[in-house]
Amino acid sequence: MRFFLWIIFFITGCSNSNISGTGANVQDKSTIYKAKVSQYSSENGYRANGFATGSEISSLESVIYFEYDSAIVSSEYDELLLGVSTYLINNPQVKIVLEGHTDERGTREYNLALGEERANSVLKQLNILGVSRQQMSSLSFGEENPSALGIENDILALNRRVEIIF
Amino acid sequence: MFLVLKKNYLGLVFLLVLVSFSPSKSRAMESLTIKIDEGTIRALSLGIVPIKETFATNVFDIVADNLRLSGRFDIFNQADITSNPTKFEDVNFKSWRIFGVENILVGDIKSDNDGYKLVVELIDILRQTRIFREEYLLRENSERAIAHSLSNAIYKQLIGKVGCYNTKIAYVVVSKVDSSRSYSIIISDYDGYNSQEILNSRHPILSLAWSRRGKKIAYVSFESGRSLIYVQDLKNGERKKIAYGDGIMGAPEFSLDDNSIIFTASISGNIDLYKYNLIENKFTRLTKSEAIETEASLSPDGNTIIFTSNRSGGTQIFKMDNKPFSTPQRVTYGLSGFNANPVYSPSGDKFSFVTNVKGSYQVVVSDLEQQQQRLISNGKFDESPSFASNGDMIVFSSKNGTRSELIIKSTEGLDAETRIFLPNSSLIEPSWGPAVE
Repeated sequence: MRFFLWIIFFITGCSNSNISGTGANVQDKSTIYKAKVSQYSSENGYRANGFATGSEISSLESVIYFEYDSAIVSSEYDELLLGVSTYLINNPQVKIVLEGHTDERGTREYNLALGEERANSVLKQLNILGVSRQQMSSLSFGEENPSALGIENDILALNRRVEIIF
Repeated sequence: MFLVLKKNYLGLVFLLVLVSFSPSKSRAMESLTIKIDEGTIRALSLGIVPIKETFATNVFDIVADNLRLSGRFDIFNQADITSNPTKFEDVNFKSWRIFGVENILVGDIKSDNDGYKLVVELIDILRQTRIFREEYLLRENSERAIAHSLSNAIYKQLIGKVGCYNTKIAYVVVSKVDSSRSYSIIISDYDGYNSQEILNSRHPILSLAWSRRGKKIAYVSFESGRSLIYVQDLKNGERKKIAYGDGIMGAPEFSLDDNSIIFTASISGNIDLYKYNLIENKFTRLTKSEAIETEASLSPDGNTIIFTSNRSGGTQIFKMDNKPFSTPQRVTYGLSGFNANPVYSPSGDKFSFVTNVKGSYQVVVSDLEQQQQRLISNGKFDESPSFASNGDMIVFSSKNGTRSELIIKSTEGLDAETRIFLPNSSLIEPSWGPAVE
C-alpha cells in the first residue's frame, strides 16, 4: 500500500449560512445556527502565556504541587497548610477557593476529575486542621489553565497544583 | 491456534510483496505490523478514469481521496491509464486486467432538460459487469456533496458497508486572541471542509458529544465559572444549561433515545457518574465510590456503560450494567498504568481508548475481549478518539509541538491519514457525528 498523507489547510469562521451551499447532501439542507454565550465575568478570559514565574509562585506560598496522577498532599506542605488553617480560623469571615489543576498528560475529562480530587484533598486537610467547610470551596480546571507552557518535566510539575485563592 | 498461524502466514506473504515493490523498507515494516494483526484487510485496486471537465475532475479527485483514506482502496495511478472509456460499452477489460485493476469508475457529463448531469458507472473488470450507474445533477458548489455521495455508493458496493463520507465532525478550536484564549465549537464535513462555528467563548470548552440523531450537541463549558454541561440545539442555536452538584460536571454522553445524558458530577468531592433525564428534569446517580468515575460511553445496545476510574489505584477502564449502582468490572490490565477515555464503536464490537506507552499518550483500538489491540497513533499527546458512524474510521487529536491537530484514519491503523489543522490554533476534542438521512 502506498503511503498517503493528505493535508488540508482550511479557514474557519465561515458565515453562518454557507453550510447550505452544498445541495446534494441531505444533511446540508438544514441550516445550523450559532448560539451566543453570556460570559460570567467581564475579565478578558484566561491569559494565555500569562503564567507566573517560578519565583513569583514560591513567594506566594499558597500553591501545593502534586506527583503525576496523584491527589495525595505531600507532608512537605504540612507547615503551609497549618499557616493557612491558622489564618482562616482566626479570620472566619475569609473565604478561600481551592483551585485544582493538572498537567496536560492524560485525557481532559480525567484531568478535570483529578483537579477536583486534588482540590478536595487540600480541602479535607484544612478541614481536619479545623477550618470550617463554609470558608472553603473547590474548583477544578483540569488541564485547561496551565500556569506554565511546555512539555518538559519541570514545567509539567508546575502545572500539577492546587492554588489557594484568598 | 490455526487461525493465528494462518493470519501470520498471510502477513508474511504480504510483506514479501511489499518489499519487492515498496521504495522504503521502513514503510513495509509499518505495514507488516498491521497486516499481521489483521491479515484479512486487502486493498481493492480501483481505477478512476479521468474526465476532461473541471467539475467532474474535482468530483473524481475527492472520491479518490475519500476512498484512499479508508485504507481499503488502492487507487490506480492515473498516469498509467492508457484508455479513457466514459461508459461500460467502451471498456477494454483486458487492458485493465493486465494491471490487476479489479474495478473502474468511469463517467461523463451529459445534458438534458433538467440541466447538466454527471453520469458515472462502477464497473467490475473481472466479472465484466456494470455494478451501478448513477446520475448527479450539477449545481454550483456541489462537487464535494456529489463526491461524498458517490464515495458512499462505491464503498457500499465494494466493501459492503455504509460509507461515512457524508457525515460531519465537531471539534473545538483554541486560538490566542491578544493575551487571552478564544474557544470555538466548529462543525464541518468529515474531511474538514465546510466548517462553521456554532459557539464562541473566552472560557474553556471540552467534551463535545453528538446526540444520536445529530440534532443536538452537548459539551462542557466554563463560561459560568465552573465546568457545566450545555446542550445546544443545532437547528435554532438554543442552549440548555445543566447544573448539578457542587464541583465539576463533565463527560456528557447521550442515551440511545437522546432523552437522557450520562455525565460526571462531583458532590462534596465525590466524583461519580449520573444520568439526567432532559424531559423529566430528573437526576439519577449511577456509581458510588470514593474514586474518580468519568468518561462514560454507552454501548450501542444501551446495556453497558464503559468508563474511566482510578478505583483500583492506577487509572483504568471499567464497565458496568447501565443500572444504578451495578458492580463495575475492570476491563483494562497490563498494557499500561494509564488507560482512559474509552469509547464504544458504533456496532459495539470494538472500543477505543487512550493509553500511556512509555510516557506517550496514544490511541488504541481494541476488540472487547482485547485479543486484538492496535495502537493506531504514534504521537506524544494523542487523545479524544471518536469513531465514524460506520466504525471504519476514527478521528482523534494529536499535539504536534505546541498546537494540536486532528487526525482521521482507518481503525485498522493503515497508513493513510488526513490531518486537519490551523497554523496558529489548536484543534481539540473531535467528535464524529452520526449518520443522518
